[in-house]
Amino acid sequence: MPLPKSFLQALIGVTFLLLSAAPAAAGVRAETPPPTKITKDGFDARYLLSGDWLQRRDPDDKGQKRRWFRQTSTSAWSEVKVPNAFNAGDPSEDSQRGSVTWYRKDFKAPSSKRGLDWVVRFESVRYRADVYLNGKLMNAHDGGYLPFEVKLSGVDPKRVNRLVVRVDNRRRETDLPPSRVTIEGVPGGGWWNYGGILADVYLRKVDRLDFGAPVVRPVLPCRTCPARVEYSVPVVNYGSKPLKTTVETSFGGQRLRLGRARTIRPGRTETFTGTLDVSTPRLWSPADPFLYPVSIQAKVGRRTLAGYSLKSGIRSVTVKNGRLQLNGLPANLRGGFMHLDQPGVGGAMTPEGQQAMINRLKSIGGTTLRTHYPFTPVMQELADRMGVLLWMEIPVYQIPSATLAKTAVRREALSALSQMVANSQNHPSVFTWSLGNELRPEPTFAEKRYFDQGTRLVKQLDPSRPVSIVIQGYPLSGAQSAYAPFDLIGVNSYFGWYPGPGGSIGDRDDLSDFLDTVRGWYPTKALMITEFGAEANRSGPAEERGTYEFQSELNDFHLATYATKPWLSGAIGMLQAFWCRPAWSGGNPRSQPPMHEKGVFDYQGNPKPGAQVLGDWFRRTQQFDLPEGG
Amino acid sequence: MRAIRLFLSSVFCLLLVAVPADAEYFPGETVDGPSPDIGALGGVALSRDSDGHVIYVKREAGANHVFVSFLAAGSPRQPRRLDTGQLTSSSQPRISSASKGRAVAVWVNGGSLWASVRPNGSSDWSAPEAVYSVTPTGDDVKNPSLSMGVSGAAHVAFEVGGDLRVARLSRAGWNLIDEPLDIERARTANDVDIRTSADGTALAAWSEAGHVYARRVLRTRLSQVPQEVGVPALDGRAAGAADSPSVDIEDDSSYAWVTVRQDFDGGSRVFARRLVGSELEPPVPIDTGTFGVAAPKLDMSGRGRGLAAVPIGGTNAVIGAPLNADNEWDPPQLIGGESDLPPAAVSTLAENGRGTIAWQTRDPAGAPQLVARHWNARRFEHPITISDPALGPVDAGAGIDAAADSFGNAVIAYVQGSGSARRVMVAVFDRAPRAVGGSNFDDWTRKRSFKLDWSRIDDPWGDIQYRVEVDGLPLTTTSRTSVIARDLPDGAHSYAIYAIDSRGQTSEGPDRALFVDGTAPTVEIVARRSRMRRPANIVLSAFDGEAIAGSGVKSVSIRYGDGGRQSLTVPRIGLVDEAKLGYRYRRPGRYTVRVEVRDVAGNRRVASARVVVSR
Repeated sequence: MPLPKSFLQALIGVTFLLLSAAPAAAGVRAETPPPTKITKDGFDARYLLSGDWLQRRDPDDKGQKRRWFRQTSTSAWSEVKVPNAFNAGDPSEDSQRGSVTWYRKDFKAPSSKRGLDWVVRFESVRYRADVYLNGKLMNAHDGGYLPFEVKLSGVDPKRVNRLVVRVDNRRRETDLPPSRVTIEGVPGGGWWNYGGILADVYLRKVDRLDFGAPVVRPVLPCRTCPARVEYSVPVVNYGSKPLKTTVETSFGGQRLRLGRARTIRPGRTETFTGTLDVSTPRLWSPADPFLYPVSIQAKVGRRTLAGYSLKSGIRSVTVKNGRLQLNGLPANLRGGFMHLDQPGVGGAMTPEGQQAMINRLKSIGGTTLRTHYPFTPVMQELADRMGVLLWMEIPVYQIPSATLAKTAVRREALSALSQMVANSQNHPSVFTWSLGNELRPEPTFAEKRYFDQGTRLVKQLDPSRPVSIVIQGYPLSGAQSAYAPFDLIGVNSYFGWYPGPGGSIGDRDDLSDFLDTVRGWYPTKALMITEFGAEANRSGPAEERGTYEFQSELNDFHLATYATKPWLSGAIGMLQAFWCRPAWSGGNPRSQPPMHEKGVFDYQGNPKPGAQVLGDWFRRTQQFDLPEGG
Repeated sequence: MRAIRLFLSSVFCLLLVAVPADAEYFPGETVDGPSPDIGALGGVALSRDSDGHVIYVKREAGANHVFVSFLAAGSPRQPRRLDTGQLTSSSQPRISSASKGRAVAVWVNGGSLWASVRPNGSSDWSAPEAVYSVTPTGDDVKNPSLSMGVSGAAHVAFEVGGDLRVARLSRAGWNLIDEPLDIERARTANDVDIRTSADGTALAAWSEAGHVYARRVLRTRLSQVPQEVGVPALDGRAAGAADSPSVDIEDDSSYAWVTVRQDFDGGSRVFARRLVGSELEPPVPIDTGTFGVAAPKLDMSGRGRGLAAVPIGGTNAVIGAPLNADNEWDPPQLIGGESDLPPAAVSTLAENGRGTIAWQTRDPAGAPQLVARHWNARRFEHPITISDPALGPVDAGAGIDAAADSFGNAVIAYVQGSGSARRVMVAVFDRAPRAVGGSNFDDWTRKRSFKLDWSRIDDPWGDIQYRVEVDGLPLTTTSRTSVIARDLPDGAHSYAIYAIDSRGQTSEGPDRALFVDGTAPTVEIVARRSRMRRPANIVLSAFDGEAIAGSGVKSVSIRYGDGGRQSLTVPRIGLVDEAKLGYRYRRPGRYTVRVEVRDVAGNRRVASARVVVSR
């Protein structure tokens, strides 16, 4: 018997209502994101989208074919807190190899006003992200560690909107870092391949005007000179009409208008520039990390359409006579290497976890942090505030020459460099831009081309910081002219730990001569030790690799050797344990894969005896304001 | 039983004779002699970068003295005396080397231990320096064991007064470690063997009152956790005394192996134990389960591969035991037959995982000879006689030693001859050059000249020459890595590169192709009177030489003269054989049919014919 037409219409209506209401999974309902800001620097009109999300694992990668991005029901989705690394705590080979996972956030727009644009900002999604809104693909992004934004078209100001992100962290040979397979045949890599939405997500409201990446660059000609603050603020008009725009700023209470009012046509960008003098600046330094509050407003008439806030520090970082200088005087930094990795959450490190990492560094007298990729916005703000210097690097990590020879790979790397500089150059804590880590020790044309292109690009974007590269400390590699464009060279120094090619770095007694040799190779470059250390996961005989005692002795030996090199600009040891890769031993005969345990703090953050050794040396080393002569 | 043994021995001897010599072993060259003054061999060293040294004792001016000969590309150079200024007899010389020419030698003179060093990049040896000076009432030094690590640090361990002492050579010079190496001073310790890792750490193993111990030497101090290598039981059999340790250590000093002989109920066994960190792993027997085996000899690469030679007591047969990865032994194999001579077997393994075991046996005429088997990382190759029977019997009692570099080359040193015909000899395993293939030219081309190029082969033992053959005929022999082959006739050709090393060993690369076609295809077009709107009477044939002489017809395009055009589909065999074109003219008249034929190489031929079309 056919159903009556009215019944069918009612059924369709009810179904539609049910679907459009999009009830979330139990406990997760569509919410209006609050105007909360985890990081203070950035756009004023931001709403925090982190928090309760839905997640659906897709190990067979069928979600796209089955159109999960259109699914309105919440069946098969589970609740998850974002930031989230979906493979945190999973040490399997599959976990390191990567897979696909979908994330979903049902939200209501914070404003129902018509005419607004909405932008979603992801501070880190690793590695590939396809972003859908209400069933439509908005954009896609590749690359794991840098913030990116996607303009959302079709945000319904009155109903629930469905933001879906497909995250794919399966590695490719051309990714940064590239996929690797170890000689044991397991997926390799220098750290764990965490996948997911690893940092905060914001929804940004755009009322016609929006900023590009504002540059606020203090220039300090000498230690006692007045500072000049250079502004370069791109403003975009997303509206449909030309807007006569003025840009005003305040630097530590000192107000400035950047040029005259200019009319920005729809879809166009105008860059507003200006300078401001600070006659008696209070300099930023690790000992006194003084920050000036900065605000920038784009106005039409008296109405502010876009605002941006940040904290700036006045300081200079230069290389002079082969020494790194902070505020005009030589520095000899001491610090720690780390990865964003925290028990329970993996690569989706919490702000508290990042704060704890800095606390550990400070507890041993360290002033510098380094990792193989750009630090999170949270870490950059913490470092600004707590007087920590950051070595900022893109994950061009041990890329074979044949891969780097590919134009597409170099283009990806250059893009990552420019994004890193654009995102982070207002932070006083960032002291160098690094093009990568441990590429081929004897560079081929591929490395040379990358070094030339990369250094040129970075110096053009930010002439105020040294550009650097990190090399393997191998005596056999010899002096390399390919490093000529760099200001600062980091040397990873594992003498006495790894044997190196043909046993060439096996004997720690060769360290001192090697360092002098490197100095001879690059007399005008600032040289830093960017990694040293030994794995340690147990107490035992000092002669046995992998014991705390061995680690302490070797670290002590290295730091004692570094102390005899007055020309050295710094030494960065290993701060804390992290997940590395399946079958990782790292030279420890009794390793505990996937744990990388060269850090002087264990994975839970407990100090090993080696922390005391680093602490003793770090605290007794004068790291800043050294005399010019050495 | 005896009959079976004799049979097996005969078969083994026949095998030695019947099998042609492996091209990579070269019979010994004389280092010194013939001379009645030749004494004992001290040893041979080959650095990873292939510099070698042989050290031995020779009588001169009424006393025994220490001589060393540098091996350039495995060939001995003029020996020189090391114990200069010492008038009394020297004995027990040992030698070891690192890279860049650095080497160290020690010997005993006047009861003291002396040393000489050859620094990096120098051909001079330092004046003798006392490492351990005997006191007037003290005991003499005996049986030193010497090892220099790849980074240049060295250790010497030796017996003195029933104890074992160790001295370390660093860039600062020799440093004698105060504390004796052995566990209890009251017991007699001997049989010490020591190896130095890339990081400057050493591992020593020795016999002490029926036990074998292993202990690290960490720069100027001894390990506080010495390990006993012998076991209380093996395969359910209670153990007795252990002795004859042989050690080697990886570049990563966390990993080392010790082989020992130990008595058990039923006879002696040989097993290996890996030292990981400061703990020994369980024993791995490397004696094929045979009882009555004797002192083993072990050599390892820096990456943890190894090769052990194990003689069997009584029968004097030889077992080879390859350590295939850093903790996996391949099944040990019987590689040398029975003999009435003690084999005095030695082993050496190169960094590339290839090695040699050499030992003494009798030749068919009954004279002692030296044979070797190459371990090619998968299996032992056929045994090869490496001593020259014409030079007399091998004197294994005077010493046999072997060493390998990182490329796969090896040297085996020994003493041969008797009376006034004694010689110090060195035979080599010269790794044949790897095969090299030239660039490919897989496509037919109109050019007749080709630049053939290939990758360079590195050989630390001399330049490689490349012989280039085209179609089996020599084109040139050159040390360059490219050559131009000119004026090749039409057709398919092949060329191959033969790499020839300084000892004349040749490796043939794979055949590469060259396809030349400089001749345009031939076209025949026959047009007969035709009628409009009917298939025209035009027949086309196009050829491009016979079979492999030409590249083949690739395309045929036709213009019929009335505006009509056609491209023929050419069969894959590359020829068009009397194809009826079947074109239909719409109007009567005289037309010129033009045909353009191209071959695969790009040669072009145009032909035309006139056709009359009637109503």
